[in-house]
Amino acid sequence: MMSLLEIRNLSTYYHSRRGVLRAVDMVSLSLDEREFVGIVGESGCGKSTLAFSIMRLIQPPGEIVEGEIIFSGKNLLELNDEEMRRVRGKEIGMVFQDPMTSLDPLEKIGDQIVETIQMHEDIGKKEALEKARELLESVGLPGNRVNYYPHQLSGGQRQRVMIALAIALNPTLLIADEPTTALDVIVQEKIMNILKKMTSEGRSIILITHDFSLAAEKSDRIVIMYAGWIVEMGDSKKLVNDPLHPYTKGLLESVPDLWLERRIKTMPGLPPDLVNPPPGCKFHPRCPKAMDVCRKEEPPEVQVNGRFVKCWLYGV
Amino acid sequence: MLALWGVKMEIIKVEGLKKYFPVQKSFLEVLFSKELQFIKAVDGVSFTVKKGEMLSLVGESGCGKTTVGRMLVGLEEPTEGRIYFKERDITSLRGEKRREIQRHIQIIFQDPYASLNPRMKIGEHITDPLLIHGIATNEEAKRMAIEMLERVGLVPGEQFYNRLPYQLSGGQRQRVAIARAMVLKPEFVVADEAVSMIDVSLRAAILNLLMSFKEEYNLSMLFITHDLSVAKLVGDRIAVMYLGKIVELGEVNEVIHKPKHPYTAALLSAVPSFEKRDLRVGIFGDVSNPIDLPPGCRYNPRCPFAKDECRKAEPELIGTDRHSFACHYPLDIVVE
Amino acid sequence: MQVKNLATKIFRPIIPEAEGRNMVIAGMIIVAIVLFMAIFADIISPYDPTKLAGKPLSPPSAQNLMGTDNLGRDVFSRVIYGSRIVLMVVFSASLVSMSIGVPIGLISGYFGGKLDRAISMIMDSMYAFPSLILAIAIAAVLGPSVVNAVVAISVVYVPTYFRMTRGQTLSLKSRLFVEAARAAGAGNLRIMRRYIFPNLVTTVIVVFSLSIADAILTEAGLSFLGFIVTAPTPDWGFDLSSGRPYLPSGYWWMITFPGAMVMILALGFALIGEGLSELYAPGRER
Repeated sequence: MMSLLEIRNLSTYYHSRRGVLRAVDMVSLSLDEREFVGIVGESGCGKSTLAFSIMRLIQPPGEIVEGEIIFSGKNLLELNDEEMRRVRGKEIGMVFQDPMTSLDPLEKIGDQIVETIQMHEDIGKKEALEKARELLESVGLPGNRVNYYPHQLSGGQRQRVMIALAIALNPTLLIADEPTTALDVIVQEKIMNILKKMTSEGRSIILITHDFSLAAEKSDRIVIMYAGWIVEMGDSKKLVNDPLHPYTKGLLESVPDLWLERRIKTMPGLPPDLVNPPPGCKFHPRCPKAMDVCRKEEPPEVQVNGRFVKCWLYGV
Repeated sequence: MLALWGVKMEIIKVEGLKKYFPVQKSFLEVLFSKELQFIKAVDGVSFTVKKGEMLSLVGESGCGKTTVGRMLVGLEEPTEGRIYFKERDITSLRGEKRREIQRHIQIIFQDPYASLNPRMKIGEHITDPLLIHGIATNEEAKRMAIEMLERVGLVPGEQFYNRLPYQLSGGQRQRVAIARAMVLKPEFVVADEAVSMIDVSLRAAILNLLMSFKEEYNLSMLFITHDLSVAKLVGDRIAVMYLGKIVELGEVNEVIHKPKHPYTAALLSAVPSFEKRDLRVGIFGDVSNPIDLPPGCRYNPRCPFAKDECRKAEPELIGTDRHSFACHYPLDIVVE
Repeated sequence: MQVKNLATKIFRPIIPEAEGRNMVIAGMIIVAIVLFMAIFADIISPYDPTKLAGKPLSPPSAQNLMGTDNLGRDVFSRVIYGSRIVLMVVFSASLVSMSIGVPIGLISGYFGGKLDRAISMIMDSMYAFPSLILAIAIAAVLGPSVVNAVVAISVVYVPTYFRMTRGQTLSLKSRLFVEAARAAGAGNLRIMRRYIFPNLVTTVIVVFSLSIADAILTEAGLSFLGFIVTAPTPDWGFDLSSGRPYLPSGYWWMITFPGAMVMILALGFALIGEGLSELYAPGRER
C-alpha cells in the first residue's frame, strides 16, 4: 500500500545572525491513509517547522535545503507556486493555533468559507453557502453561524470554524498545529473528537502538540522530535508503555498525569542551541544514559520491534 | 495548643467572597439603559487553607479563580465577603497594616515575561521585598538574595544577581519570581498558573521547586490552574470553580475518584491522560456566559442531568471537610 | 555632554537596528560639530562677530567664507558665535521643561483622579497652542531678553513632557511587574521611583531630543522677532531678520547661512530623537 505522504531526508534551515539554525535536520517519515499521527516535542524541536515545510509555507530566512516530500505520488518540492497553491487547501488542509489572527474580523464566517471554496471550485455562491452551512454543522456548530462575525464566537467556536475552512475542499490530509493549546480542556476534547472522526471518514491527520498525553490518547502513531531530529516513532500505546529513547522516557516521567499515581521527575538541562548543537547526539548533555560514543558520533536510526529509534543504546 | 491536639491551624479562611466588575458600556448603551450590569467574576466563594496544606483551585478560563487569588494578596478589593489570615480579619486592611500582613502572603504570577521589571537587576527584585519590610539592610539583603537565587537553581548567584530580565529565559525568570515570593519566608503563597507559560519539559522542575519550598517552609499554598493533572499532582485538597462559585471541594483523591458534581466529572472525562479511565460524563456547549446567569443552578444549561429543581434553586455547598459539593442531584460514581 | 554619554551607554546594543543606529550617529555628528563651534568659537572664528571684517554686503569669498552683512561684519563668525546663544537657550529651556513636566506627568498619571483631570486640562490647552505663538505671547509679556526667552520656551514645552510622561505612566502602572511590586508590599513612592521612572527614561530621552529640535525652531522664531537678543549680539534668528530687507536686492548670504544652520541643528536633534525611538521600540524591552 502506497503511503499518502512520504518525507525523505527533509532538512529545513533558518539563517540567523548567529549562524545556521537547523530547525528540521534530515527527517524521514511516512503517513498512511486514515492514519492519525501525533508529533510531540518541546518548543524549538522543529515540529511546527516540519508542518510548514510540508505545506511549503517556509519564508526566508527559512529555507528547505534538501529532501523530498512525496504526497499522493508527487514531490511537493518540485511543484511550481501555482501547482502548490492548488495542493494547499484542496489536498492538504492546515489548522493553526490562533484562530483570531487567521480569520478576517470584518467578514462574516459564511463569506470566508464561501471565498475559500470558490477559489478552488467553480460553483455558485448559493451552492457554496449551503456547503458552508453543512461544514459548520459537521464541526458541531449550528448552521446559522454563517451569518456571524468572528468576534461573536468564542475561542473554541472560532477554532471549529478554522477546521471547517481547512476541510472545506475535502483534503485527504489535515495538519493541525497546536489547534487546542489556547483552549479549555472540555472544548479541546470536543475538537479532538471531531478530528478523530475524520480519520474514519477517510482523512489522515497530523497533530502537532507539546501535550504528550493528548497525542498518546488520540493518535495511532507518535513521533517524538528533539532539536530537529526524530528520536523515536511508533505505535502510540506501545511507545507510551515501553519508551525506548531516554528523551521519551524523560518526557513521560516529567509530565503530570491525572490518573497515574507517581511523582514527576525533573528533566535535567535545557533544550539545545540549534545553531551550535552538541556534537554527536544532540541529547547527550541531558541524557542519563549517555555513553562516550554519544558525545562524538551522530546516533544511527534503527528499527526495534517495529519502533524507530535514533539512539546509540540500540545501535549496532 | 491546637497544634498539640494535632489540629492544624487555619492560615487562610475565605467567607462569601464576591467580586463584581461593572460591564463597560458603549456610549449609546449608557444613554439608553440605566441599569448597571455586572460581571459576577467571583460570586460567593468560601474555603480554608490549613498550615502546610496545598489547595488546588481549578476551573476553566473565566471562572474567577485568578480573581480570587488577586483578592487574597490585596490586588483586588472584594465587593463582599471576608478574608481571614490566621483568624484575623484582613479584608479591609490598608496601608501600613496591610503591608505587615503582605509579607506573609505572597504571589507568583503566570507570565514570567511580564512579572519582572525590565529595568531592574534580577538580584534587586529579591532584595526589594527584604528592604521594604525592613528585614535586612543592604549588605545583608544582597547576601540573602544571592543565597536565594542559588536555592532556586540560578547558579552562580553572584552572576545572576547582576543580570537584567531580558537576559534570562522564561523558566529562569519564573525561578526569579519564585525566589522573590519565598525570600520573605511567607506563610501563604498564591501560585497563579505558575507553570502555564513554561515549556512542558521544564514544568516538572518548577513544580518540584515549589513543592520543595512547601516542604521546607511548611507553606500553605493556593495553586490556581486550569490543568487538572497539575492540580492533582500538587494539591492536598482541590476546589473546582464554575462561573464564580465553588461547585466541589475536598481532598484530592476523594474529588478525583468520586466526583459528585457533573461539571467535575465532565472535566475529569475530558482531561488527556496516558491511562484514561472509562469515565464519560458529557457537557453541552462550549462556553458559559458570566453576565447572563440562568435562574437556579448556574450550571444547568450545560448539565446533561439537569432536572426541574436545578432550574429553580441554586444549590448550596454541602458536605464535610473531606468532601463537599453544590448539586441537587450529585453523582454517585467511583473512578478506579 | 550628558546626552552624548547617555547615548553611548545605551549603545550596548542587543540587536543593533541598522537604520536607527545610523540616524543617531548622523544626528550626533551634526550636534557635535555645532557644539564644537559653540565651545571653541573664540579659536575657530576668524573675526570678531561684532566688528568690521570687510566691505559691507560682500558675497562669500576667500576672506569672508559666508560673506559680510550690511554692517561689514563676517557672517561666518556671526554664525559660529550665534550657535552659543541658540544652544544655551534651547538646552536650558529644555532642561527646565523636563524637570517640571516629567515629575508632574508621573505623579498626575500615577495617582489619577480629579487632580489628574484638572492638570491634564490645563496642559492640553497649552499644548493646543502652536509653540511659537505661545512663546511670543509669554515673551511679549516678560520683555525681550535671553533669560525671558528661556522662560518662555520652557513653559511652551512643559506640556509635551507632561503628556508623554503621563501616557507612559498610565500604561506602566497597570503592568504586571508593578502589580508584583505592590503585592510584595511596595508603597507608591517606591513604585514610582524604582518601577515606573526607570522605565520612562528611554521615552524621556527621545522626547528630549525631539523637543529640542522643535525648540530650536521656536528660538529662531522668537529671535527673528527680536525677543531674545539685541544688536550687536549674534543669534541666527536675529540675523535672519536683519538680513531679510536685503534679500530682494539679491544679497542672499545673510539669511541663507543662519537659516541653514537652524535647519541643520534642528535636523541633528531630530535624527537623534527618531533614531533612538526606533532603537528602543522593538528590540530593547523583551
